[in-house]
Amino acid sequence: MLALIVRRILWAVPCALGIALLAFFALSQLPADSAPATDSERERRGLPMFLNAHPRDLRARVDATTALLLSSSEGSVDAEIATTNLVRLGGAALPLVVPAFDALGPVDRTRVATALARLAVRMGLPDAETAREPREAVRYWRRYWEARGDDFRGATARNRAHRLAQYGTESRAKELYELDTFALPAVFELLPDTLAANELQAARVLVDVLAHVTERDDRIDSGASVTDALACIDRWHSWWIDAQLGLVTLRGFERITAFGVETRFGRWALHAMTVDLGRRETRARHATAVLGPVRVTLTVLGIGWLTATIAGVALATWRARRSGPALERSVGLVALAPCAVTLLVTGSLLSELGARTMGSTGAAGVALGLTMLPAYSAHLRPSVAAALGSEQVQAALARGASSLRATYSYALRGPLVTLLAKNCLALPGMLTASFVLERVFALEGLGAPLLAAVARGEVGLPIALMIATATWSTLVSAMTDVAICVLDPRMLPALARAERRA
Amino acid sequence: MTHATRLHHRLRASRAAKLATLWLALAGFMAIFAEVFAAEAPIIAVGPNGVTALAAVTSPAEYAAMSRSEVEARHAGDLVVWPLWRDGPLRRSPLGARLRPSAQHPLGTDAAGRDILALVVHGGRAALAPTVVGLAIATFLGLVLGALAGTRGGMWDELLMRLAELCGAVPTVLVLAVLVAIDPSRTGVALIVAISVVRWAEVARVVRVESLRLAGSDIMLAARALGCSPFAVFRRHFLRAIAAPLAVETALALPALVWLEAAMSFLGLGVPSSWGTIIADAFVRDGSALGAVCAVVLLSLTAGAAALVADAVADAASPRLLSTVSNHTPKVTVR
Repeated sequence: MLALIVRRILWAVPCALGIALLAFFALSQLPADSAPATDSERERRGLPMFLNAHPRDLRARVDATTALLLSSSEGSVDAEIATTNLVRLGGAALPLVVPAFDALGPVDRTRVATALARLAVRMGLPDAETAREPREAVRYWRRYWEARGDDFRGATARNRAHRLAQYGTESRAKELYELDTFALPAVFELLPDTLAANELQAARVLVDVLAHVTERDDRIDSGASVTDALACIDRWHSWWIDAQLGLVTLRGFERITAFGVETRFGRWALHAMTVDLGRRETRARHATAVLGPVRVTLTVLGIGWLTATIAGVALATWRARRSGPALERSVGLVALAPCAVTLLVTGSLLSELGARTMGSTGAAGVALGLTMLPAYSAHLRPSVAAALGSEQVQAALARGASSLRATYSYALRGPLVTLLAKNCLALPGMLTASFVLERVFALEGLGAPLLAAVARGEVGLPIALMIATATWSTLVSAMTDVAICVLDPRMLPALARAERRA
Repeated sequence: MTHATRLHHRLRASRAAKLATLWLALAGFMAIFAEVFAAEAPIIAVGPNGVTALAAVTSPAEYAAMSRSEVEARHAGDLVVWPLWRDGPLRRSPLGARLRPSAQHPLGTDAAGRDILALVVHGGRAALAPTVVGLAIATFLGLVLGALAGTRGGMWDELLMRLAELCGAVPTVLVLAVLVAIDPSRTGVALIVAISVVRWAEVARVVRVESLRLAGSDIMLAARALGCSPFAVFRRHFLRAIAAPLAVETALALPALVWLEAAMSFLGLGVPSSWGTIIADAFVRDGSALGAVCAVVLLSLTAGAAALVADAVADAASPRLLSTVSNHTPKVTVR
């Protein structure tokens, strides 16, 4: 039994992943409403959706850029693109490019060294203009690498970043400029999740380094508030998710994970986990935006579920105990009454009458319950009717139990669990009705933001909702098995057989 | 007595079910042959230029652009069979938009100047067609995949049932919203796909349980022992045994799906000019209240009738409730 329950719950994980993949795939089919605004966005749209067999890390990009540079004629558009890309890769590419000069012919190595001249200027190297001279460029970079090559280590970058965060002086910043993009991982490690007012200066100088080496003009202004600073840091984190792989060399396990991470889904998931949900400030911001509507929708669903369940049980029991023409009439009434007024009419009436007495949310919940009533009653009635004729009910009656007690204590026990399970599983389906009622009652629930998010092609909220509903269904199914076995121990062997069979 | 005959006899015993079936048949007829009830063009016209049949279907735009008198002039001298109401859902009234009820337009006109009576008549097709087609596809998929899960077992069973759980857990509104965002033409295909994707899981569960129950039954063992092929066993025995629970499941789904279509239209995701859209127009976009009332009544009658038929089918297919429905004699006596 325990194994079955654990297995059912564990199945929730692949189910949630499957739902996320399916939803992402579906939402990715939406036509893009605008051209990509940035290079990283353009690159992201060009990625495979779920599996990237050839993730392009720093080494692959350096090789491709160098090959493009050497295959194009001097002064051509391709050569300019290759030069720009090489400079964009920056200091992180130097450990791969400069030591490889010996493997190139004299002309090729001169072209590569000359292409790095802009980088020397950005890094603030002494005599940077010398690197522009084709005759001197190779010698310049070789000398530089002999003198400073040992600085291009992770520990050095971390030390310099720490010193900058601690002292915040221009000279410390220049130390990091010299490492250029090689220092980015260390700087991002130090960017804080939360900020106190006295930490603003440290964050500002770190962001200044990022802006300098990446040539992205996104800085924390001198008069910026803590909130503005955190928003700026969030933007930088988002950028880093897209740019990270191109600025580090993948090894071992990192390369394997890149097959999944360097995809459109991987990038989105990483962004959701590290920025949207991984950082306290953004998490709080999203929670504030979503929790209100979620609370409204859940309240409507909860009240509707309770109304439908309680009224459905009472109605089904009454119908099961009656028969003949009266039953016929009751069937007609039950089937027609809520339908004849339908959800909208029920909702409209309650929006006027009910909102005054129980509030709009309560009235919407009751309307939802009334709409679900016929289905709930119809599902329960046959089971109750059969249970009323069972031996245990007859025995209870023979022992002198009242008909009411016999019905509610014995006949309803088994069917009720099934009904509750079925009703709990129906909750995701009730969302549609809830969204309609939110519109009728002008409630600020989840419906409007969700539909707007889908129309905009945003994947976060729809996937979150799908995962929530799938997890709910799995947990309810597992809990139902437990409840059924507790109420009816005869079911235990059957479930064990099902477990063995699976 | 066959299963079908027994079901028929049991259904006949229910007066409510008979009335509901009659209404459903009428609604279905109106949906399929809406042009017979309301159209701009004649149903059939025989004249010197030949025979024109169902011109509202073959050239709707041409007739929608013509006024009623122009259509009459065109077919003057022809032998013409006109529809019951000579206005269609595409024609814009020359009298204007948002008209009050009058002899020309008994329910008035909407914001676009279209006759609301014609819209309501044709709205049934838009409301029922995607529902019925979606339900049929879902039932077929559920039958095949449920039977596969139940008979093959093992990994097939596990995978298909998890897939069913997965599909069943996704709210239909979300599936439809995504599909409509991908293809905003709102032809009804999105609704059909959404219903099929979400609904098959429910059917598959029922079929799987029934197939598990039947797998060990004597009749299946005997059929296999007599040398019947798996397909023959499926066709002759399995399909017949599964017919009753499947009919119940389908019948119970119909009212829910009729309502679902209306709800989706209300949210702007359904089919244009369906009953749900007419209601939504009245609520959200200041459309015709009279049209909305008519649509609500028709929708309610259809959903209610479907619910009554479903109830009757469930009763008829359930041996436990046989006596309570067919003989009007109480099976359960609680004192």
